[in-house]
Amino acid sequence: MADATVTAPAPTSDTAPFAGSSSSAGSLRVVGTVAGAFLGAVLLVAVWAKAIAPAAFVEEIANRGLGLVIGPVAVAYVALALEAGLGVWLLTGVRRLWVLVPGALLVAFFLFLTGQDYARDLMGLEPVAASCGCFGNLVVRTPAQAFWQDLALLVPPLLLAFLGRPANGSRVPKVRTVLGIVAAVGAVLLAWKAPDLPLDDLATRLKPGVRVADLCAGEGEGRVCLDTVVPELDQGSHLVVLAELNEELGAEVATINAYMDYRHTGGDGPDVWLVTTAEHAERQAFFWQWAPAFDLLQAPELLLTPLYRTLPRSFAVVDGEVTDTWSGLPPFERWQDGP
Amino acid sequence: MTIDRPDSPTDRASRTLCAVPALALLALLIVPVGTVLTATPATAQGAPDPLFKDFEQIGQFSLVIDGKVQEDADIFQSEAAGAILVMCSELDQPILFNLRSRQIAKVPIMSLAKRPTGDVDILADAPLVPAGTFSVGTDGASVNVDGRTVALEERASLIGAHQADELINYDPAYARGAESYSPNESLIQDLRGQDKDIRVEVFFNSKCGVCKKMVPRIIKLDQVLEDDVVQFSYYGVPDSYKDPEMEKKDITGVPTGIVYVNGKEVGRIVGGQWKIPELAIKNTILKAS
Repeated sequence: MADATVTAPAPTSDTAPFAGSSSSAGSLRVVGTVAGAFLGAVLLVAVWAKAIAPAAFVEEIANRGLGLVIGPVAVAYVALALEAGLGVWLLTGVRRLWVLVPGALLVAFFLFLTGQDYARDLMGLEPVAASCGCFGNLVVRTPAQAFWQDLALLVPPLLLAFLGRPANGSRVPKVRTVLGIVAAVGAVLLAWKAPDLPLDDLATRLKPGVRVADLCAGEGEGRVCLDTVVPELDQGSHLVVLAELNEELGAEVATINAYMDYRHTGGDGPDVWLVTTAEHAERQAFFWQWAPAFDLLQAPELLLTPLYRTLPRSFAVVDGEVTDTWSGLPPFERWQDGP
Repeated sequence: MTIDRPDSPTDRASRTLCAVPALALLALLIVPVGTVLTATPATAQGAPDPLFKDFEQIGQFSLVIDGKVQEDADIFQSEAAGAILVMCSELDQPILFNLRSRQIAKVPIMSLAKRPTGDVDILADAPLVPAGTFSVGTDGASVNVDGRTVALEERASLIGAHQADELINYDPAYARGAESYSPNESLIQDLRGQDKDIRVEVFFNSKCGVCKKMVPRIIKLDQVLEDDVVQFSYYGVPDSYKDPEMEKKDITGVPTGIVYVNGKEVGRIVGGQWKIPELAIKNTILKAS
């Protein structure tokens, strides 16, 4: 059988000749480069998902006890910088050991985290953190899905990336090394500024066009969807506020109550529901303290966490479909002031 | 004087003028009827107060007077008004708990209008008489009224085996939820076409949020389907979720329904699967056959 003809990328100033000169060596080089690029792309997507919702990532680090020495925020920034740098280097074909070894350690670390949750799940225990794996809150997966998907997405390309590595040439290709450093700094800057940027719709699963029946968490008997928590959302117009029951929200109750009074006295506007993870006793205490004129409903943390970056967050629903989202409370004056 | 309600001097003057003959009539009516009226709002005509209206009967609180639970108390809540209205033979007049101002007011029984649905409105010209400020705790409110301690306390969850009527008696919100749910007629006919002995045992908790949304739907199905089609029973689990019956039947969450066909368990319906109960039951039976 004739050897397949492989068109390998032309060597650049940063790319060294290969140890083997045969076409099989060329094939290995292509496979290794493509696998490395794939792994790099996966890492960059994961960086993006985490950097635009840094609070959730920091919380996950804290919950796992990984921020004991320098604090969870610093750990999160270092992890994002490392992941972004490695991602860019792999994507641009830098497959030196100083990239692949840290890359392998990072993959092992991710698998350790998802494996830990998967093992706990198999033992019937709660996961350590509400979100699973390296994709932050953007992708919600069960512990089993997180482990097996990460294994399939990360390990094969990592192993293949070791194939056909350049034997000599520049160990530190200047242009691409700088690119990686820029990406690392950029990831940290993005994570730093992201909370102030209007990225909620990008960073979470809650965005206009989504059906509330599709906002679900868990699997099997434990599966719960938002339209189970508030079945009324299926029909008509509604405003839903996701919030923690705290003093800050208590101070805002008067605003919501004023809107409810407007509706109660004949004004036209959507109904309001407040969804929280607070337990019954906490909801009762809030009820007596602040006298909300709207329903306080409980939803599991696993369901709510992927729907926000910061609380409160609110959204409008018409006939079961999300039509608008807001950071904070809805703009009640839109209805109270009339068209 | 009214409490926490828009009120102009003109309103007050006209109310005072109107109140003179009204009070005489009220005295004539109240004296012979006595405590019966206290428990039964008059079906008076008149415009409801713009804010203190739409009071729905609720079951989540008990009225406790001087430490004794009043079994004959009727408790109504207007969530939108932020107020709770209580009536009981032990009270000479209904009492309005205004949650926002934390004040209570006595409401003349003749100033209440009961609708055919059972909901109650306070009439627009009701002379609400302030009677103190209530204090709140984590699970209720209490106030001194005429030297007696009147408290609203959270009611214990309904525990053990029950029928739908008992759930509705415990909390009328179940009936309202059932009323607002319309089962799919085609699926109802499918269930009626079954020739098997079908029984559904529903485990629930009175305070569980999803149960509050789903159990009324099951009750509606229970009301629509004849007993010889599907038999429903309800089992209330305690707030601790620790119960021998739960352990015996391996119930790990609520609401959970165990579906039996000809006496044998064929499947379970859990949590959000209850959203369309007639569909969930039909699918469970189909999977088993």
